[in-house]
Amino acid sequence: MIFQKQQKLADVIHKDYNLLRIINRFGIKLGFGDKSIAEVCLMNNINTDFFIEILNIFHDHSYFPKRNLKAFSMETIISYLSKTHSHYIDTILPEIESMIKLVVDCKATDKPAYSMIFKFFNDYRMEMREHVRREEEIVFPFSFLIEESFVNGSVSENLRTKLNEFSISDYYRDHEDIEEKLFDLKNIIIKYLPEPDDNKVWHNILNELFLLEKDMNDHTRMEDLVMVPKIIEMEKKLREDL
Amino acid sequence: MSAISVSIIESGFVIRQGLISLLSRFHDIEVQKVYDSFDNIVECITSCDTDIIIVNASLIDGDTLSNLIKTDARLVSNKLILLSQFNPGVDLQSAVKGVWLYNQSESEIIESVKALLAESDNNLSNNEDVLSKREQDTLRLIALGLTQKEIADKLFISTHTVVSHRKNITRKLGIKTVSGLTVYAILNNLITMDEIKE
Repeated sequence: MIFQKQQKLADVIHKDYNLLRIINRFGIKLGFGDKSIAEVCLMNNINTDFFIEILNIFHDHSYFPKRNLKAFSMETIISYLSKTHSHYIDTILPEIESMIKLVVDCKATDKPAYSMIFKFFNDYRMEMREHVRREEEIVFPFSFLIEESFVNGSVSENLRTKLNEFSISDYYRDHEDIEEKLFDLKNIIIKYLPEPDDNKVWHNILNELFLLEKDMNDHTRMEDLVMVPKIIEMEKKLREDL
Repeated sequence: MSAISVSIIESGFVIRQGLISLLSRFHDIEVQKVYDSFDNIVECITSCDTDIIIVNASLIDGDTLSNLIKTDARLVSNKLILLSQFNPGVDLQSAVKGVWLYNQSESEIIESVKALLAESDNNLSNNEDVLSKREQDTLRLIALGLTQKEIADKLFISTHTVVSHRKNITRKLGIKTVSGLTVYAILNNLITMDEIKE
């Protein structure tokens, strides 16, 4: 099902409660009564068309209108990607960490083995942080610069230097290792956990990991299929005029 | 791990989506690549490393196809499934792996997919998920952080063999990263915490 902007936001959440993550990310607070998606967006100063696309992408993995998405400005796209990053780093990962820490601390037997899982998770978390930092500090500012020059039709001295050092094509694909680590973590918990005595907490942890994985898939698609190709096109044209 | 990987070459959205949803009902099938358009179809088919390629017959003209059959008969008969509105000639039917028709019923198509899966099951060796002694030795050394070269020297095997052990280990355990394998090795007492610290 594809959501439309005149639909009530409350109905949308009833259809797919996972979208709570998205509305949270856009800063929408609960208690929106019977307002439509468009009305809620207006109140919160959100680009409705973009918000609808993100809801739909997240709701239905087979829905991904590349062309529509590429039409949004870099600022709209990147501000969303950035919010997603901080949601991962500041909320989701610390939550998972405290859950794992809890079960490891409570564990009487097999403690070293469990500490290994905790360490593995922390390595993963560090790697995520580093990856996000790189995007926020290098890739995003570069993308803004490219778009700005493209719109103005002139290449600044600053960008000229940057273009000599960096191309967006260099940035492709360090997502892979991070994805693999998350995959491994899930599998270790599902298949190889020795005598877990607190099944319920582990179920919650797994639940969070699966949600995170799905979320990150959508996030990565947004970067690899929308942001990066958009920059590549502009960068190519700018380089021609150098 | 998936038993077979499938790629789809189809320009129409409705049919493409229908194929994906059909194949996703089978958990032993992985849809690897989906093309909605491309310039060189032959190159795409011959370079594709998937087990099965489903391609809409209307996207390849007759000459190109018969050329492909001449030059790559094995590939065509092992991999290529034609999706077609009409029944192609007998020659063509026998040259390709299979033909799926637009007007076939759900159960007919499902039977065809099941037949594909049954075939690939026969090709799989038994004892799939148990690590051999040699693989366990390799895993131990990977977990301890040795390089491929060091492992090869220690076990008196070639680095090529190390790589192939590593692939099998990952396939059998479902763990891809070195640090993940280290955790596995500790949980299963293949190595101890003290050994890592050394």
